Amino acid sequence: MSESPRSAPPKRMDDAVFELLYQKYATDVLRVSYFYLGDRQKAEDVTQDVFVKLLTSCPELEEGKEKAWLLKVAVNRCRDLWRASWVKRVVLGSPQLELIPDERAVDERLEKQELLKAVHSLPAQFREVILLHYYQGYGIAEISGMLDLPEGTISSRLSRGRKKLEEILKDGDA
Amino acid sequence: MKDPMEEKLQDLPRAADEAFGGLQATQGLRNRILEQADGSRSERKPLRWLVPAMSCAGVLLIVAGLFMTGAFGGGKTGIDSLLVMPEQQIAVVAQGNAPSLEEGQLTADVGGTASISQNAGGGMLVVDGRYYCLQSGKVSSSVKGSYLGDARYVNSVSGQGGVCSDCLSDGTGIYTVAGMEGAAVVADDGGTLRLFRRTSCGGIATVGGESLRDTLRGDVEMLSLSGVGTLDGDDARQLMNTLFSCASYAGSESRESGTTLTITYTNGVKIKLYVSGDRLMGCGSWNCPEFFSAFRGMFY
Repeated sequence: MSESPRSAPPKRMDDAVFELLYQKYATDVLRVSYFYLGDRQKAEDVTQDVFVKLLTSCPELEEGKEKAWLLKVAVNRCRDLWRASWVKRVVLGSPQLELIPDERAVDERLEKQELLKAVHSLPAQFREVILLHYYQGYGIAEISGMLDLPEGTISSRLSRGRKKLEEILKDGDA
Repeated sequence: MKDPMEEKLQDLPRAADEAFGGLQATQGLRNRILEQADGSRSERKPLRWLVPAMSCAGVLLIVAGLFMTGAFGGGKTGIDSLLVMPEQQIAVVAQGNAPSLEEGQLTADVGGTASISQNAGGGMLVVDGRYYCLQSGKVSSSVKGSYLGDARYVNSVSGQGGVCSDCLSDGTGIYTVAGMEGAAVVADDGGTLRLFRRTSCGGIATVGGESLRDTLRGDVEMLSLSGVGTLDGDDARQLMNTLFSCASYAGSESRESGTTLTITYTNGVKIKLYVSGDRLMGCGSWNCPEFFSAFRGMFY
C-alpha cells in the first residue's frame, strides 16, 4: 500500500537556501512592506510571515524568480492588512510615512520626500503597482503574474496612478 | 514627449533607498522567523469544539460576575457598568493573583519614574506598576487569557497604576497569558498578539512580596542555555525548582549579554533571558550558581 501524503514528515527549506534568500531580499521585502503600510512593526510582521511561509511551504521557485515570489506574498499580505485596518484609518486617519534615512544621508531632499509621501498616500491599488514597477523595477507582464491581474489592468493602474500622483503633488496633499 | 511624472518616478528607487536606508532586516527578525517556523510545524491543532464551549462558559461567567458584583443594580445603566469593567478587572489582577502594590513594599533598589526612549529595547508596557518588555513579534492566539485593560500610549512610562506603553497605540487591548499571570501579558494589536515578558525598569523589579517564581510563572517544558544545551521534561522542571529555591535577588539592573536562557512553556510561549556568569537577567538580576552548575553538569 502506498503511503498517504499526509503522513509524510513536514518539509522544510534547506537552511543555506533560506539564509541566502534572507540576506539578499529580506530588506527589500521589509522596505516595500513599510512603503506600502507606513507602519514599521506591521512591515516586520509581513516580512516575518513571508519568510515563514517560504520556510514552511517550500514553494518550487524558478531560478531568478525568488524575489518576485517573496514580493508577491508580501504585497498580498500588505493588502490584507491594509483592508483589515480601514476602520482604524477612517477613525484615526492614515498612518504618516515616517522616513527612516540612513544616518549617513544627511542632506534632506524635500522633493524626493514629497514624492515618497505622495506614493504612500495613493489608493492601495495604484500604490502596489507603482511600488513594484518603479521601486522594484518589475515589468508589466511580471506584475500581472504577481498580482493575478490582466496586463491591461496593470498598465491602466500605472497610468492612473501617475495622474493621481501628479494631482497629489500639485495640491501638496502628500 | 515623456510624461514628467514618469521621469520623477524613475528616481523612486534612489529616493526610497535614501529615505529608508535605516530600515534593515536584522538578525533579530531572522531569529524570530526561524523560531516561528519551528513553532508552526510543531503547533498542535486546537480542539474545535472547545472554542464555542469556552466562549459560552466565558459569557456565563461574565454575566454571573456582573450580577455578583451588583453591576446590574444600583443607579448605573447596564452600559455604564460595562464601561467600568476594565478598571475593575485590573484591580482584581493586582490585588488577587499578585501581591498589592503599596509603595513601601517595592523590592526594587530605587523607586520612581522611568523615562524610556522609544527605540530602547523594542518597547515597554506597564500594568499596574509591573513592567513588561516586548519579547517577540507574534504569538499564537491560544495563549490569550483574560482582559486586563486598554493601553494608554505614553512617551515616558511611570510606575503608577493603570495600563500604559511606549510602543502600543492608544486602546490596544492587553490580556493575561493563561497560567502565566504576572509573568507575561499579550497585546492584541489588530488581531496580532504580541508577547511582553516581565522585566525591570527604572529601578523597579519585583513588587510586593513577589519572588523570581512569580515573574516566570508557568508550566515549563524545555530549557535551553546557549552554548551548553537543551533540557526538557522532568529535568527542566527540576532545574527550574532549583532556580526558584536558590536564586537571590542581586538588584534591578538587567543588561544584555551574549548568553541566553530560553524557557519554553507548555503553551508554546518562549521567554528569552540574558545570562551573565551565574547571574540571570530577567525581572531584575538574580544570582544562582547552583542552577547554572547543575545545568552544565547535565552535559559535561
